[in-house]
Amino acid sequence: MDRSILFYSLCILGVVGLLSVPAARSLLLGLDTSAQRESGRTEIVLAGWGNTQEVAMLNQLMADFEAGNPDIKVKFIHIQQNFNTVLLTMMAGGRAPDIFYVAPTTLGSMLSKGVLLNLEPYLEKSQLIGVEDFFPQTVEPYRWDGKHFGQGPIYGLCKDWSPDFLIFYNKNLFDEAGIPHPDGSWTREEFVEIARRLTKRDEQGRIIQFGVYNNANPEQWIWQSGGRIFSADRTRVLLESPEVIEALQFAADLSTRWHVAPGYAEQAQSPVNVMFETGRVAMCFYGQWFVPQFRKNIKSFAWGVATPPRHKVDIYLSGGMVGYGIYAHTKHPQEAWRFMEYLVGPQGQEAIAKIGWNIPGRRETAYSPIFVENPNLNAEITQTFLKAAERTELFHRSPYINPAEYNLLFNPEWELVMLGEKSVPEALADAAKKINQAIRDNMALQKAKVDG
Amino acid sequence: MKLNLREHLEGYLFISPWILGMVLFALGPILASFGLAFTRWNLFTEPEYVGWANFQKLAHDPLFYKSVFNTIYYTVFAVPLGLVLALGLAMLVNHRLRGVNFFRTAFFLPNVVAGIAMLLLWKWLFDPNFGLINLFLDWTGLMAVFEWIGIGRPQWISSRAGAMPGMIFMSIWGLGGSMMIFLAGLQNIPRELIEAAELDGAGPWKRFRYVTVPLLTPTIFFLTMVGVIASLQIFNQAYVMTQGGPAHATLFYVLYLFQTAFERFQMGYACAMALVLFVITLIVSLIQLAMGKKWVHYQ
Repeated sequence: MDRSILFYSLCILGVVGLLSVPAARSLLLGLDTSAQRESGRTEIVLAGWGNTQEVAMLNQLMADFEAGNPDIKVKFIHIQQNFNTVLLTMMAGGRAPDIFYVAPTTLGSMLSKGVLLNLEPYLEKSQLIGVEDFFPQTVEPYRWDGKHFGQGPIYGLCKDWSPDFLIFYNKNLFDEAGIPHPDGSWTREEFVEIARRLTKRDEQGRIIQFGVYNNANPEQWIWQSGGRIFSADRTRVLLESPEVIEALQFAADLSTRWHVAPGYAEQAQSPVNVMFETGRVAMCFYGQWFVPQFRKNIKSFAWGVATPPRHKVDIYLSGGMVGYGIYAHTKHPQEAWRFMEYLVGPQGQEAIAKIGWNIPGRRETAYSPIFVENPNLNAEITQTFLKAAERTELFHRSPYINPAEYNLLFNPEWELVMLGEKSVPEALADAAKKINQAIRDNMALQKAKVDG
Repeated sequence: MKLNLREHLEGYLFISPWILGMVLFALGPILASFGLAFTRWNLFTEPEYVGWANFQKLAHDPLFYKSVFNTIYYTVFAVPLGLVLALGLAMLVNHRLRGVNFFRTAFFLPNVVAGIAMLLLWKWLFDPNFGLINLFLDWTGLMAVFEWIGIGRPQWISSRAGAMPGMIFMSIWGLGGSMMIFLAGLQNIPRELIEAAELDGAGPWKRFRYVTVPLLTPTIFFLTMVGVIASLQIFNQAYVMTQGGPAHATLFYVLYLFQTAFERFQMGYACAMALVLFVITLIVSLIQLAMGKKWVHYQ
């Protein structure tokens, strides 16, 4: 009896062992192709992120698209965290999606890896869309001629976008302090003074209410000061330029000198939106995409949106634009393009306008009643955003360094500034040294690849 | 004791699920990573053989040394502290008292609760102004001690000096697992031995020192080995709470490896780091094994 159990167990074990590898192989590869053959439909995979509302919208769009295109089946892969790492790993593993979200911040590193399809030939033939349909600022970042952004063929099209660093302010806290609501005409000095008046301490001197949470991307301050982080050809950072130093000194001073914004320790405690929703910070920076959430979560006070304080250059920044790109090595470029065309075309963009989550990339849809009079939004705030959008530029990074790597090198230096242990010019000089070195290394590797 | 063939087979059968999983899913990547350690590879280019270049680069990488230092710092404090406290707790819950099961469960509970949520909670506890830890120090007047020795109000993970002590302090949270293993060890100690020592006039300390501890040495040895290996691989805490900051104060070895591999995409370099960690772990474990022969007492 013992012996027979052992015998059977060994048999099972042997079978399992033998089957595992081929089984896995046929399961992974075989099913894909057989499924396709059976239905006669081409499967197009879209990878992206988004909240439940956006996923529901996508599912609806996908169903509508499939109804009109019976030869294509679309599938959505939801990657909420570490999107680029997961995406690049999928590509390296040979399981890349056909279409995926591309933001200007990560566009550079995608381009340098050659994973994006040139959309120019498809756009030329398209009956449904043309580049002139979109806000021009949203098209320019997707152009790349191998050396410079803004020229050359196009590698992505905007899904939605927004000026991302407008000021959301708590009207009740302004009223309590007797401060008139901001109309966007303020200077940086006035802004700091207002933030100071909105900062409250308890009897022990601990700050219990901050004037502002500086969660604006540094680019907002830098462009307003007339500076840029990267040189035009993106081969080095200009962190040591006087404009960048001035801008980041201002950003640091908010916390370390004027104490009107959370410092390093306070920033760790809770997310900005939570601090704003609970009235612990009077002002913070967000894009259109936070309006629906704040409308839902904030019941105890009134709030509004204003443009950030004016400085040398009258400009607003966007870093959160999201668009679609097609995988350069997809087996089904035609089908992928048809789906992407649908997503950025009138129907796809109307769906975006309907959820009001962000400003549609198509100008006509953005100014249509579906968006401007969206019952889920506040019409006055929507107007503020649309007006600011016309003066908004998109910043993007370098093809030679991805944002995660940039942050790895920049953040430790910035943390020293926020801890008051290093001056801004010193920290920026050290960060520039490291980042420029990394860019040189990456370029050498890319060049070796091209030459080889 | 000689094992016959059948017993051998049965033994292998019992460990076969693990062996199979290891061979099918882990062995390939492990071997591949050893090979990749000698290449330059960013996931997209073809791996390019570069000889020992990655290791030479590692030898001149200040962050490599920083992360090794941080990891050893953490290990040297967290592992012994965890062992002593876990043993203490195990002895406390080893009594046959009413409600002792409640305490056993309570002490073990942190090991069951989901990790990431707990870590976010700890961020709150560490808040210098409003965190419970500093408020507790305020209420009990213990804050005066910190002021007196010149540390001032501890800033915990928000400062370079306090970040590592904070991480070590936090490690106490998860010692329920070691406590359970110690408890099992304690309950394996024959009562007769303790009673005999008692009859010979040994007080509680002597009974602990000369009976309990020697008989627990295999348990202590096991927990030290496992604890050191786990602690050399510490990652989650820093990844979730500090991202290695402020200014690299909590940049642990595996976090640095992860950042190198999956944020900078320097796969070859990261594989070299993994290989170095493997060698370090191996050496530390061999030293412990050799030393263990001197002090571990098997019944």
